[in-house]
Amino acid sequence: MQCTAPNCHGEIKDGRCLSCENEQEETPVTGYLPWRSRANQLIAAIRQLERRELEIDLNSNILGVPIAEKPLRQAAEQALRHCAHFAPTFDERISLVDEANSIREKTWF
Amino acid sequence: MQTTVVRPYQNVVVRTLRNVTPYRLCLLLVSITLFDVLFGIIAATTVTQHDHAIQTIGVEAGPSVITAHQIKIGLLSMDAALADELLSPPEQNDSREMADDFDKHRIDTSKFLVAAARNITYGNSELFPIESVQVGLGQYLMQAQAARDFHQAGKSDQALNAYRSALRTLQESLLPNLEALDKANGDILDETYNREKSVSALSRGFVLLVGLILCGVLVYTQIYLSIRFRRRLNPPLLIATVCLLVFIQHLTQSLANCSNEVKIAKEDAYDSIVSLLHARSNSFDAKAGESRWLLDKERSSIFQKAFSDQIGSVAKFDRGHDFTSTLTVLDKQLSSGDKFSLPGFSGALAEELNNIRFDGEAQAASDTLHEFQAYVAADMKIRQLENDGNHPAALKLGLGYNLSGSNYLFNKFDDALGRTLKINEQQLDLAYKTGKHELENIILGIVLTSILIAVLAYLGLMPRLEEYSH
Repeated sequence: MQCTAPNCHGEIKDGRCLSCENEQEETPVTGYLPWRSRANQLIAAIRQLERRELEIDLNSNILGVPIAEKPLRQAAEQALRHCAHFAPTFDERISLVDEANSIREKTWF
Repeated sequence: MQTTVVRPYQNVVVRTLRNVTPYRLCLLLVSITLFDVLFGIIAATTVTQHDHAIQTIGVEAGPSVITAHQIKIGLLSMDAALADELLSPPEQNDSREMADDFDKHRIDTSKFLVAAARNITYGNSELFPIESVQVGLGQYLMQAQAARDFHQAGKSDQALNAYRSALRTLQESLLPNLEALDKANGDILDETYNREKSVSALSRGFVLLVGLILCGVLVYTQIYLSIRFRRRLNPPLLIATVCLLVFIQHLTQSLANCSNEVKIAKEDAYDSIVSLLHARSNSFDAKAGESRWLLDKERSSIFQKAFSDQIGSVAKFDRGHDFTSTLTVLDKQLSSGDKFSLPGFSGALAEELNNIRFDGEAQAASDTLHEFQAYVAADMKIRQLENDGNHPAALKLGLGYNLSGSNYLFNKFDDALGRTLKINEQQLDLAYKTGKHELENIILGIVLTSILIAVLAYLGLMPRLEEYSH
């Protein structure tokens, strides 16, 4: 199984990524619902960060993602795109990709 | 139970209107491509219109009008030389000089006729007059040769009859056909220029409008992508927008410059050239008429009237105005650098003096009028001497190349007119070259810019569209 942390893709062994050393769930995330659920949790964390209900903490993580806006947004975007891959209809895929784009970190290009 | 069947294309329209992202992106891509193609077509059409206008004035109709006048002047010079030759006793130096003059003008006329034939652009309206002139010229030369042969043989009456036949060919066949050739080209030139003048600003405005609409669609797409995809800039669309703006600026500037050159070529140079060529051909007709008047006493009243009409078409004065008063005002305005305003003065030279635009033109045109006055004064002396019964003195003045001789003074006038003409011809040529240069490679630029914008729009939007496909 591969690490789900943004831009890592390292191998998971004993619940920890060999590359970024973040904790990871060993249960493979696959299919629409697991990705949707993961995305929901990450989005919730982002909203809490925005409302300052959650403090930035690079040493802690949620679902293997450090608690900071940038990695959380990247992970949420990735989760929503994975989710879109399993979307049952084209309309749903469109709305998931739109959602992924709306949550992603703002970039120049 | 009733079910509503929604057809696929209706579904696409509904989704596009509802702002469903991939459909909206497709709509934007199609819009950019369509406006890009429309911009390319309109821009290319406008450039072609401008190019056609400058081509018509500078290469097609303009030079043909000038050539038609040159042929006319050549024929009238031949006629004047023939009349002068018949006025001189045979086997004298003067007579041989006149014959050489005739031959020189015959060669020039033939060359101009070939030039006119090589520049046929408007089919039969040019071809038929040129063919008729070619046929008529052969006839005229035979009649002229017959007159010279009779003159050499001392048969004055038969020489005069042959001259009258040649003159009839000139006046009834050659000159009307040259008028037709002049008109065929002149009308097309005027029509092309008037059309260009009326639609030029409009077509340039339309190119600018469509270009700006395309630019607006590109900017809207950029903003749409920025909001929807949280990507501030889309490099291919940004490059497309910048390229388009730079090209629109270059295109509209080039078209405006070309329009200005068309105006200079037509209104400033060509109109002056036409006035000067009218002045030249009519004055050559008048000069020939002077010799005819001396030669053919039976028809002297007809030739006298024709002379007055031709002189009047070159320089005509209202009651209370004459050469002296007009030249005084002209010299004053020339020395003060004012624009010429000569009340009571009309005719071809007045038209030229009212259309002074280029360096040195005012001085040359002023010299032309001065020299024309000297020639007309000499002609009056000739007529006075002839009417007083002093035919040898009138003949000496009429054929003479001394400082007070009519031929010498006419040549001085023609030199001054030629200088004025040359200034305008050079400016016409310059305006044509500059106008053509402005439009050089513009069509290629339009094609490349259109392709570039379409490719950049595709490159900018496809990655975003692909997000929805897997």
